[in-house]
Amino acid sequence: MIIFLKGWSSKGLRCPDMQITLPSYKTQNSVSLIQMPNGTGKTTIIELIEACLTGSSFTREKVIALKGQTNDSAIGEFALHIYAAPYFGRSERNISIIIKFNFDEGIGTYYTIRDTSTGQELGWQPPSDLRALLSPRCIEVFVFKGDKVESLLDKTRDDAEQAIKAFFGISKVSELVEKINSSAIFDVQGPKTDKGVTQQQNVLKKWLLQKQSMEGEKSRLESELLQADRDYEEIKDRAEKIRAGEKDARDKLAELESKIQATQLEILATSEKTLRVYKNPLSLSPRLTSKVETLRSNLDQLKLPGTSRTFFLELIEKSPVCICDRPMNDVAKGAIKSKSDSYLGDEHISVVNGIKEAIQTFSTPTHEADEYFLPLRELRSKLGDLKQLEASRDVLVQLNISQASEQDQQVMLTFEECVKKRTKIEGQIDEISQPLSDESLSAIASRNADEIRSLDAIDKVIRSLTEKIAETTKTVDNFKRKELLQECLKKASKAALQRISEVVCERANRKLNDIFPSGTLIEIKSIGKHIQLGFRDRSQAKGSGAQNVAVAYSFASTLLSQSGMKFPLIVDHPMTAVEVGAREVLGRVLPSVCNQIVGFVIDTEKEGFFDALAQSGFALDTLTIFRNIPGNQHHKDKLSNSERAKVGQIGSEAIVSFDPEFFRNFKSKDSVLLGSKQNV
Amino acid sequence: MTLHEQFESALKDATEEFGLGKNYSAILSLVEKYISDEMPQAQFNSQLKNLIDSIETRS
Repeated sequence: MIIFLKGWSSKGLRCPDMQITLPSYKTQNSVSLIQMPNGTGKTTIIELIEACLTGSSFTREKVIALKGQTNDSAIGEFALHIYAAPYFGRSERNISIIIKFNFDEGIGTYYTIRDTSTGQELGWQPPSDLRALLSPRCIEVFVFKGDKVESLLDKTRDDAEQAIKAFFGISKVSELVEKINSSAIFDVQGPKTDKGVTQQQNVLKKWLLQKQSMEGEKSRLESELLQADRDYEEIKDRAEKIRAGEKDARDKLAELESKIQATQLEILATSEKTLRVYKNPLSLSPRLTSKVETLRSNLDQLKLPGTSRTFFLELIEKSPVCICDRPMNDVAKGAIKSKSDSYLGDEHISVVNGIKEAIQTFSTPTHEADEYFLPLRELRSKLGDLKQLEASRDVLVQLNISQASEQDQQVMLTFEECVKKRTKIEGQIDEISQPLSDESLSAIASRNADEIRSLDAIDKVIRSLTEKIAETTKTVDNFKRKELLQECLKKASKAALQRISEVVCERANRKLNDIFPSGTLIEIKSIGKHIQLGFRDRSQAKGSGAQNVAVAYSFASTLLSQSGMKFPLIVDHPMTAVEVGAREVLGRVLPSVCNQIVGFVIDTEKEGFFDALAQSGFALDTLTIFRNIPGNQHHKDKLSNSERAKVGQIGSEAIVSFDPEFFRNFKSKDSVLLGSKQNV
Repeated sequence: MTLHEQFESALKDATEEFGLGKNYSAILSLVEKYISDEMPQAQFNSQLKNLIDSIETRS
C-alpha cells in the first residue's frame, strides 16, 4: 500500500488558518518543501500531524495553548489529509483525520473520514490496513525531527531496534506475549507450577498414609474386640456366680444388722422399765417394809409437841395450880407461857403426819414378790440376745471375707478389666468409624493428617485433595503450554528481529551507496539497539552531519518501503545539520530512496539542497508560508502577479506561495539579521 | 523473501524447535490477527484457548 501526505488545513489555532494541498501528493519519489519562517507555527503543524497519525489525546492545558491569538471563538480545527493509492484491487482512498477543539472546555475530539464515500465518523478510526503502522514508535520513524538522526546512532538508546520492532509488528508480538499472560483463560486460583502439584501430592501422601494407618488400627482393634468378647463370655458366668454369692451374704448381714438394731431398742425400753420398778426401795425387801410399818405405828402413838403446848396454854387459863402443884400465879403463868413457845407447833405435826402417810402409801405392796425381778430377767435376756446377734454378725463378716477366695478375686478383677477393655476398644473403633459432615471438611483438611482418626473424614479429605491435584495438574499443564507458546513467540521475535535487522542493514546500505559518492568509507555495520556505523573492521560512532542524515533517511525509507507499505517521510529541519556541499549530494539522491519527502524548512536550509533537488528530475513542490501581517509586506510585494491574485482565496491569516522562484529568494527577517551580523 | 516472510520463517523455525510444528498455523493466525487489531477480546480468548488445548507438551 502506498500512502501519501495529501495536505492539511487549520483554523483558529496558533498556526495561521490555512488549507494546504501538496501538488505532487500522488507522485512517488516526490519532495515537498514547506518553507516557514520562525513563528509561523511550523512546530504546531508538525505536532498536529503527529497527533492525527497516532490518535493521541490532548490535555486541557495543551488544548488551551493551541488556541490562536486572533481567534475570538471557542472552537478550532485541524485536519490531516492522506491519500492511499490503489493496491491489490482496492481503489484509491482519500482519508481525513480531523481534530475539533473546544477551547472553553479544553478538549480535542477526533473525527475520521475513512473514504470520501463515507461520512465523518466520531473518533480516531483510520482504516485497519493503515492502523498497524500508526503507532507512536512507527510515527517517530516517518515523522522525525533533526534530533532523530542523532538518536538512531546513539548507543545508549534503542531507537533503531524499537523502530524495526514497531514497523514489522514485532512490538505487537511482544505485546501479544504479555497479553497471553493476562488472558482470562489463565485467571485461575491455586498453584500453577510442578512445585505446587508436588506440594499437594506430598500432602495427599500424608493423608493416604494416615488412612493406611487407621485402617490397620481399626483392623487390629476389631481383632482385639473379638478376643475381648470371647474373654468376656468366658468369665461372665463365673463372675456372676461370685456376685450372686456375695449378694446372699450381704442380705444376711443386713438382716442381722436389722435385728441387732431392734434388740438394742428393746433393751433400752426394758432398762427404763426396770429402773422404774427399782425406784421404790420398799419393793426390794419385805423386811424393810415391816420395819417401816413399825415406825408408822410408833408415830401414831407419839404425843406431839404441838398438843403439849395447847395443854400448857389451857393450864394457864383454867387450872389454879401447876402440874407441880404450885399455885398458878402470874409468875408461874409467865414462866409456863414463855416455855411453851419452845415446844413444837402445828406445822411440825404436819411433817410427822406426812411421814406416817408416806409409810402407809409405800408400805402397801403393789406386786407379788416374784414380779419385782421380771424386768431384770427380761433385760438380761435381751442383752443375751444382742450379744448373740452381734456374734453372728461378726462371724458372718469374718466368714464372708474368708470365703472370698483369691481365685474369685482374680476372676472378678479379670472380669472388670475385660469389661473395661471392651468399652475402650469399642470407643476407639467408634472414633475411627465416626462419619464426618461435609461442613467440617475444610476445617479438617487444614489440620495435620496424623491428628485425624476418622476414616470417613480421611477419605473425604483424600477425595477433595485428589480432585484439587487433578485441577492443579490441568492448570499446570496449561501454564506449561502457555509458557511454551510464549517462549516460542519470544524466540521467533528475537530471530525475526535479527534477520530483519540484517536485511534492513543490507538494504539501507544499498541506498547509502546511491547517496554517498563512490569510495566513501562509511556504511551501516550492524543494526542492533542502535545503528552502528563503520567500515569493514572499523567502527565509528558517527559520520559527518550529511552522512548521519543520509543514514537516517536510508534507514527510515528502508523501513517504510520494506514494511510492505510506502509512507511519506515528514521531516522537520531536514538539512540543519548538513553542510552545503553535502546538501547538494543528498538533494540529488534523497528522492530516489523515499516514496515522498515532506520537509519543513527555514530559508537557511535551502542553500545547496534546493538547487540539487530542482535539478534531480524528481517532482518538487515548493511552498512558502508566512503570516499575512504588515511586517511581511515586503514578502507580499515580491509575490508574482498570479500568486498575488490567489492570496485572497487562500485566507487572510497566511500567505501561501507555490512559486519556486519566490521560494528560492525568500529570506526571513531572522536570517537577514543573522546574515548582517555575520557580515559585521 | 519479504520482511514479513522473515518473521513467518523465524516463527516456523521456533515452533519446530519447541515441538510446536503442528501448531504453527494456529500460532501464526493468532499473531496475524492480533497484529492487525481485528480480534475482539472474546475471540482472542477463544482462539488462544483452542491453541493452548491443542498444544502437546513434551513429557
